[in-house]
Amino acid sequence: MGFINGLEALIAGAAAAAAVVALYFLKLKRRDYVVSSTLLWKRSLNDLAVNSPFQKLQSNLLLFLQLFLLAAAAFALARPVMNMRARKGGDIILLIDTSSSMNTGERGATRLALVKKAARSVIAIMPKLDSMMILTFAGQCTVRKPFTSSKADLGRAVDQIEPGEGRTNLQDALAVAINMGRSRGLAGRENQRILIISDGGFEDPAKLKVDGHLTSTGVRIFTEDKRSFDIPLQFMSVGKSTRNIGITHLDTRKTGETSAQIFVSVENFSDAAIEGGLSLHDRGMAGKGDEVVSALAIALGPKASAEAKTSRVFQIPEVTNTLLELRLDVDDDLASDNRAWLPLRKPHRAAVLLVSNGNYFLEKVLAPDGDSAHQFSVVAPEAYSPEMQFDVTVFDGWAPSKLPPGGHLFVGAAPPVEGVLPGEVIPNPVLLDWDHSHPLNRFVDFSGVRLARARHCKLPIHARVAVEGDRCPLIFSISEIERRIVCVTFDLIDSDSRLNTDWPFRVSFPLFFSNAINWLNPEARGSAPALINAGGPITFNLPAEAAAATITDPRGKEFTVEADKERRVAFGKTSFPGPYLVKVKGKDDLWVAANLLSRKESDIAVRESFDWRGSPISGGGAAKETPSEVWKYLGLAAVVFLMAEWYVYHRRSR
Amino acid sequence: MQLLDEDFIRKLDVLSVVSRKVIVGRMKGEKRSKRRGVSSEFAEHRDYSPGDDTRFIDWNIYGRLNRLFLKLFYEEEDLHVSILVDASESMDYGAHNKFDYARRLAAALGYIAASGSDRVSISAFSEGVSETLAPFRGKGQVWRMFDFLEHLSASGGTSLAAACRNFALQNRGKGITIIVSDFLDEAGYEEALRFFVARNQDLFVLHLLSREEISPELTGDLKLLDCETGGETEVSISGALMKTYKKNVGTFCRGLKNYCGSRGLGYLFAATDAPFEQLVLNYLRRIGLVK
Repeated sequence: MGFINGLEALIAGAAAAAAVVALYFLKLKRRDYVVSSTLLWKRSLNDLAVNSPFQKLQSNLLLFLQLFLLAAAAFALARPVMNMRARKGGDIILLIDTSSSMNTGERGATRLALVKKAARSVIAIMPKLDSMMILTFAGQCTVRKPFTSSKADLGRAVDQIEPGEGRTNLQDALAVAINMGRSRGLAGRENQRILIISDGGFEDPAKLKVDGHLTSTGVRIFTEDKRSFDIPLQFMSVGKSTRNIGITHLDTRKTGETSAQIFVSVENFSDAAIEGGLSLHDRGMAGKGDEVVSALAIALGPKASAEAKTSRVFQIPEVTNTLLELRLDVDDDLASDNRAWLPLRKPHRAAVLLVSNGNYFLEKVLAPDGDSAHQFSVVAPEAYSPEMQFDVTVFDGWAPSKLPPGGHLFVGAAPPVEGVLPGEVIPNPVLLDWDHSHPLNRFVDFSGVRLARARHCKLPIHARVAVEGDRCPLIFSISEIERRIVCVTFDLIDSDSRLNTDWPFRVSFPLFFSNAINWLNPEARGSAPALINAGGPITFNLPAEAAAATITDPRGKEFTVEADKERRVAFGKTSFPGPYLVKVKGKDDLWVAANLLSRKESDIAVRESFDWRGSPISGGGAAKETPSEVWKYLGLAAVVFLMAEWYVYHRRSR
Repeated sequence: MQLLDEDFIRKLDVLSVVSRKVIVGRMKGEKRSKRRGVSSEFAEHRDYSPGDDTRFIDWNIYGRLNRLFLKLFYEEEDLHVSILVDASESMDYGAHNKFDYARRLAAALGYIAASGSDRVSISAFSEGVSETLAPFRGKGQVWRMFDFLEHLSASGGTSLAAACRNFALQNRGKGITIIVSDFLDEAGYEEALRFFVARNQDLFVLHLLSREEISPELTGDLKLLDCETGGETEVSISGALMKTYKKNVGTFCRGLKNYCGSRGLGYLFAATDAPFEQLVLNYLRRIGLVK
């Protein structure tokens, strides 16, 4: 056994013992009492002395009790420790929720502050031989501190956790934690457990993909030598407030060539009705303006009532490149969901080139109709040059030897792409089926389309068949880094100027080509999306001339992001809701809005448990009461008791 | 201090002191004596001897047995009642003061004896016989007794043996001796009482203790001061000590009672908070001191 405070306890104990003995002998002042005779008293004292050998002990019992109490207190102060060789240290994997709902105000503090306090208390009572790892999770999971036994390091890691934003993705965080625990367990460590500190604003983890067997209380890991160990899940809930109203849905829809509508839903998650205002602001392309486009009042009933949710529509007569912001003017406990952003992008008019010796149907379907969304040109194959700058090139029955970057549509010709090998002509192919999920086939129905001939093509592995024939693919697409290709393997008109198919007379014909132009359009190809969920990635392709992209987050922090080998950029630090500005050399600046738009996050009612394979993992609000050592209070109470006992006894002896 | 009130005195008029050992007095009193004399109370027969008074021949027996017998009668004699009152300092103790109680008891017994034409003497003792009231007889003299007792004070230590020896030397005649004391003598009581046993005296022991001595209500650490000797005894009151003390009180009282019983001495224990009237009118009758 050892003592952490051995020397200090020895000094304190000796000083206190001297004080106790001195006080005791002060207490021995006896009160005089006159009796008629001490004859019988002396006989009684003699009898006691003869018959009871412990009378001397009893007469000094109070002194011995006090000295014993003092010795016990000194022993406790010395903080004895025993080396337990047989016990192996355990691991605690601490998952801390840093999602938007953790910014909810809780009587002057935030939920995140309560979470950090709870985490500190867990660290404080962690057994000395144990290790702890700290992960935070919102949209993504971040390792704050790898396994360590140093409580000081763990405490600092907790202190450095900053308020986050974004949705709560517990599933990915749990998968990481379970795999961490599994690795440690297989390495010989014992007693792994996962502790989640959150307000419960997450989807119940389901279909978790981990290397283990999910039990009702956690995960069971099996080792190669047929042993197993369990990693239990524990949950500590924090928070109380339920007062919140938030923007839960935002969408935009084109109503014309240049007009659009904005749909927004607002929901009240409080137990009381709330009134406020909803306004739409134009921030301008620079993001610094604040022009009020529209404002209206809203009044919502309490949660679960029919009036708890409302939707509004804002009309945008002319879409320009700008950044719009929706603001909810209400008094609630969570501000993160009271704003949403929506970048507007003026539709890009794609330049379409038809390389053909004349094809009425293609010219008709590709020609712009009035205020069309794209520009259209026609050249003969011999006049075609790869340097021609068009967004989409349609090759009718002809294919160039080399294919430049861009969007290309082949009709009745095989694209000069590695892996595409044209084969024999298939007579009377039957259209069997089409891929309904392919963007090319959106709203398209190929039923009844008849073909006279089609050319069989052997396809590369990365090609995607959009329409399947009985003996060969009829329409397929290939998506490459700098190119997108759509190939229709049959002619519309054969070399004898006879119709090869009745497809041009069907509704699916113009719809398919409209989808194809949109898909091949560079705006849809590799551009950054306008809206993402907070915490989700911003992904886009970098053009060849750009080495990197610069992304500025809503707080003004700039990030330089480089592309991978495939010229793809993925930026994941979007947990903070707001507009992100993407700058790429040679291209226009783009706004990408990361919005919370989550009912789960906006519903800030604290959940005491979550469902885990049909069984609840409950927290019971343990974080509301933080465990703390009580020996100091016991010691103080003992000192007060001793002083009071001495005072009362001294008073009686007067 | 008024020792006895008038109502109580009237109740004492019907009582008289009884001696279990009929003894000789100088004067003719109201007590039977074992001596044969002239009285109306037949005692026994003896053979007739020439010269005896023929008036006392029992002719009935002669008619039956044809032998001459004389009738003998008890002599009526007076009783000498001596009351010894412990006047040591230890008697001046208790909420119901032992000394006052003892004086009242002595006064009652003295009144009873005087009312029965017995000769009464009262002595106070501590380390020896300190004061003595000369013997008196008859109710007309009781005022002297009351006056004597009222002026007594408790002082000095206790030496039962010395006091009883002195008393025995001064009172060689026979009679009833009543000792009223707490018997709290370091030297014990055996030697003192032996003086009376040897003289075949009719002795009654009235043992008085106060309630504070029988069941003291003490707590804490105390320095007990003996009011007679000045001795100090330090005690830490505990349950065990109190239990032992009360046991010793019981042993002390039983010891004295057994000593008296085994030697034919009368004994009565009384706590000073016991009703005085009941003690005199009832308990003294039970032990045969009064009737």
